[in-house]
Amino acid sequence: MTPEQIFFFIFGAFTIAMALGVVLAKNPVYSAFSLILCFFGLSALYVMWGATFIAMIQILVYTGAIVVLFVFVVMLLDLGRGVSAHSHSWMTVLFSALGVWFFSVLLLRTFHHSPATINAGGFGVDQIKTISNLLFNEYLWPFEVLSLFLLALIIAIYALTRPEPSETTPNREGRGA
Amino acid sequence: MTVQPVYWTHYIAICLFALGLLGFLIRKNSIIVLMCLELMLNAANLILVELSMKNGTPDGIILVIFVITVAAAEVAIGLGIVLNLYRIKGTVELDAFRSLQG
Amino acid sequence: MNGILGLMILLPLAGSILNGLILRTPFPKRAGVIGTLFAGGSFVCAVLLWVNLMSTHTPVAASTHWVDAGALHLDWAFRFDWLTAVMALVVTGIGTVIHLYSIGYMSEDRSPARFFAYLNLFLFNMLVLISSDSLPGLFVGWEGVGLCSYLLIGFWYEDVEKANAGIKAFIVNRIGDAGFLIGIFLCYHLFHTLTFPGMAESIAHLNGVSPWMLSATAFCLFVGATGKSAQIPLYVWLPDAMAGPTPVSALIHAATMVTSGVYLIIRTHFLFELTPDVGFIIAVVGGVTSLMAALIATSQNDIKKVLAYSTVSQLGLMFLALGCGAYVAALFHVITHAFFKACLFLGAGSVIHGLHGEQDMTHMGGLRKEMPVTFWTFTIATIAIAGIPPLAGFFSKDLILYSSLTGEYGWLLWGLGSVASLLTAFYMARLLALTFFGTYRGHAHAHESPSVMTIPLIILAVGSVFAGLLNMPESFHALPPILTDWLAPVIHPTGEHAMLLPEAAAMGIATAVAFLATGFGLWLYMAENRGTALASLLKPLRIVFANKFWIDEIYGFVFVKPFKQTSLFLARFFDPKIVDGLVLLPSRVCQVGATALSFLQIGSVQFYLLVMLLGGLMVFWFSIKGALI
Repeated sequence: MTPEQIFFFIFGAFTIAMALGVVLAKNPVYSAFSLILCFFGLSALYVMWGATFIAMIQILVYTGAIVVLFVFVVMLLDLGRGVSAHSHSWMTVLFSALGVWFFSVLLLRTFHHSPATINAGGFGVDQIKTISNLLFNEYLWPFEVLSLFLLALIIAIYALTRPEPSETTPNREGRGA
Repeated sequence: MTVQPVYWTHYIAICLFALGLLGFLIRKNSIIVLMCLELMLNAANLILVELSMKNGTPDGIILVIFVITVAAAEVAIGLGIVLNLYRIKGTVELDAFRSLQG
Repeated sequence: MNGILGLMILLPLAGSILNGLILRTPFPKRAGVIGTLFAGGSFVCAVLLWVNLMSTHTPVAASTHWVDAGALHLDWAFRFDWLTAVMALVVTGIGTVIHLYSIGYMSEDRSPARFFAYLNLFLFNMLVLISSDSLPGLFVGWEGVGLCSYLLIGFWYEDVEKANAGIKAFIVNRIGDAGFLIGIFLCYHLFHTLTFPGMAESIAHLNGVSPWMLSATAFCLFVGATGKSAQIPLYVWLPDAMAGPTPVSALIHAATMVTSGVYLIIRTHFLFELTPDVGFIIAVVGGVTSLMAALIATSQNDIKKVLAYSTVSQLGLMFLALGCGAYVAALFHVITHAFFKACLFLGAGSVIHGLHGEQDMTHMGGLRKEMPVTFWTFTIATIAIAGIPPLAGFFSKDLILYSSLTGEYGWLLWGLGSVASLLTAFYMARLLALTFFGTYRGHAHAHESPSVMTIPLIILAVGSVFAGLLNMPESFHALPPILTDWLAPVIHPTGEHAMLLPEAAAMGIATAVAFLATGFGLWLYMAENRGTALASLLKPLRIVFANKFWIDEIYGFVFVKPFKQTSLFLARFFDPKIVDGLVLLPSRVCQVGATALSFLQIGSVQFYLLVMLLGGLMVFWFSIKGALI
C-alpha cells in the first residue's frame, strides 16, 4: 500500500463521513459546516490527481459562494435548532433506504471493472492555459449560452424575491418598485 | 504521480450519491434537502474529474466548470423559492406544503 | 257466399265499434237495440250459410294471407263446415236472444254502450273461434273470448270484488292457454301444418312418431280446454264469474264460451282418436268434475252459484262423452245445455231483477204467483236439465251415459255420470222449490219482468222442449238421428261397440233416477222443516260441500301465496339489491378503487420522488438485468 493510496483512503473516508454528517445533522448550520468539510475533502482528492484548477474552483465557488448562501438563508430565516414537528414513518425510511441501496448496487454493477488506472498530472502545469484555450475556442458556444443563462438567473432571482407590492412606501402610486 | 485503480473512486462517488439521495428523500428541512442535492452533483463531478485525468483530456474539466456554474445558479433559485415558501407558511418544513393532496 | 261468411263474422265487430267507440250513447234502449240488431244480422247470415250448406254440401271458405316465416305459412282462413254450422247457429241464435233480454236487464245501468259493445265483441271473437280453419286462428278467437269474459265479469269494476273476479277468470284461463300454446307447438312439430284439414290428412301418413308425443300433444290441448271449459283443476273461476251481470253469465258462462273447450276437442278429434289413454284421462276428469261440482251445488244458497256449479257439472258430462269418443253426444249436449242453461240463467236474472238485486235463495220463496212467466219457463228448463223425458236434456244426457258404458272402466264412468245426474235433478228441484214454492221469506216487492225479458225466456223454453228431437235414438223409430247424420262428413260414425248394459236398461235406470231425485228434492224443500233428521245426519258433509271443498283456499295457500311471496321477494330485495347492485358494481368498484388509490396522493414532493425512484429502479433493473447477469 503506497502512501498515496493511504491518503486516498483517508481523504475518501473523510469525505464520506462529512457527507454522512450533512445527512444526519439536526442543526442546519452543522449540516452546512459538514458540507464545507466534505467539499474540502473532495478538493484534496482533486489535488491528489493533479486537477489543481478544479480543486481551487471547487473551494472558491462551492464553499465560498454556495455554502455561504446557504448559511445566509439559514441565518435569515432563524430556523433555530431545526427540530422538526413531524416525524417520518418507519415505512418511508425503510423504503427510501432500500431504494437507495438497490440503486447504488445497480449503479456499481454498471461500471466496468476495468484495470485502467489514473495517470495523475495528465496534462501538466499549463492547465489553465489548456482549459481556457478549449473554453474559448471549441466550447465558445456553450460558454456564451452560460453567460446568458446567468443573466436570466439574475432576473429570475430578482423576480422571485422582490418585495410584495403592499410593502412599498405609501406615497408611491401605481406599480410597485 | 501515483496510480490507483479507477474503480475505487467509483465507490466513493456512488457512496456520495447514495447519501445525497437518502438525505434528499428523508430530511424535512428544505434547505438541507438542497444541500443534499449539492452532494449528488458533487458525486458526478468527482467521476468527471477522475475520468478526465485518467484519459488525459481536459474536456471533463470543462464540463465540471459548467456543472459548478449551473449548480450555483440552481442553488440561488432554490433558496429564493425557499424564502418565498417561508413567507407563505412561516416554516420551511416540507411536510407543511401539502396543498396538492387528494 | 264467402262474403256472407265474412259478414257473419264481422257484423258483431262493427256493432261493437259502433256502440263502444263511435256512438257511446248513455241510453240503454238505444245501445241495446243497436247491439241486438247486429247480433241478429249475424244470425241471419249464419242461417243463410246453413241453408247453402244443406243444399250444396260444400263448405264455404275464405282466407287472407297472414304469416309467412320460413317454413311456417299461415293464413287467416275461415271455413263454414257442418260443425261450424251447428256452433254458429247456437252461438248467434242464443246470442241474439240474450242481447234482446239485456235491453231489459240493463235498463237502469250507467254505461250500457260499453256493455253492448263488449257483448258484440264477444260474439265476434266466438265466431272467429268456431269458424277458423287453423289452430292459431282458433287461438286468436280463444284469447278474444277470454278477454271479453274478463271485461264482462268485471263490468261493474268499481266493486273491487267483482274486478278481482274478472282478474281471477283471466289468470286461470291463461294457465290453460299456456298448455294450449304448447299443444299448438307440438302439433306443428308433428304435422308441419296447422290447418285442420291439413292436420287430419297428415295424421293419416304419420309413421315413426312415438305414441308418447301424440299423447303429450293431445294432453296439452286438453289442458287448454280445461281452462276455458272449467274442469278440474281450473274450474275455480266460473263460480266467481257470477259477479258479472246475469246475461253475461247466461251467454258466456253457460251457452257459448265454456263450450269452446268441447269444440276444440271435437275439431281435433282425429288426434284424440289415436290416443285412448288421454281419452281416458279426459273422461275421468270430466266425470270427477261433474260429481264434485254437483255435490257443491247441493249446498249453495246463492241462486247464481248453484247454476254456475251446475254448468261445471254439465261440462264435466260433456267431457266424459268426449273422453269416451262420443263426439256427437258431447255436441248434442252442448246444444241442449245451451238452451236450458241459458233459460235458467235468464230466469234467475228475471227473479233477481224482480226482487231488485236479491240473490240469496233463503230470502226467496213462493214467487210463482208474482212472476208466472218466469216460473213456467224456469220449470220447463228445470225438467229439461233433470233429464226427464221427453224434454231435451233427457235425450242428450242419456246418449252420453249410454256411450260411457264401454271399455274396462265403463262402470266407473257410468257411475260417476249417473250419480252426477241424480244430484243435478236433486239440486235443481231444490232450487225450484226454494225460489218459487213455499212462503216468501224476503223483504222486497216482487214483480214480473217486462216482455223484453220474458220473450227470450219463452223462446229458450221452447228450445229446451224440442231440441231433443235433433238426435233421437234409433230405437225409438221416431226420427232419424239428424245431428249424427249432419255431422257425418266431419265426424265419421264409428261402428257399434260392446256396451255393458242394453240401451233400454240404461235409459230406464236414468229416467227412474231422474224422477225420484226430482220428486225427493221438491218434497224436501217445498215446505219448512221437512227432513230435519236427514239434514242433521248429513251436516258435516253439507259443510264441506257448502265450503266448496275449500279448494279456493287450498289454491290460495299452495299457489297464490308462494307466488306473491316470491314476487315480493324479487321486487323488494332481489331487484334493488342484487340486480341493481350488479349494475352498479363496476361503478362501485371504480369508486372504491379510486378511494383506495388516492392514498398515494399525499402532496409531499419527497414521497413522490421516492415513488419515482422505486419505479425508475424497476425500469432500470428490467432493462439492464440481461447485461448485468
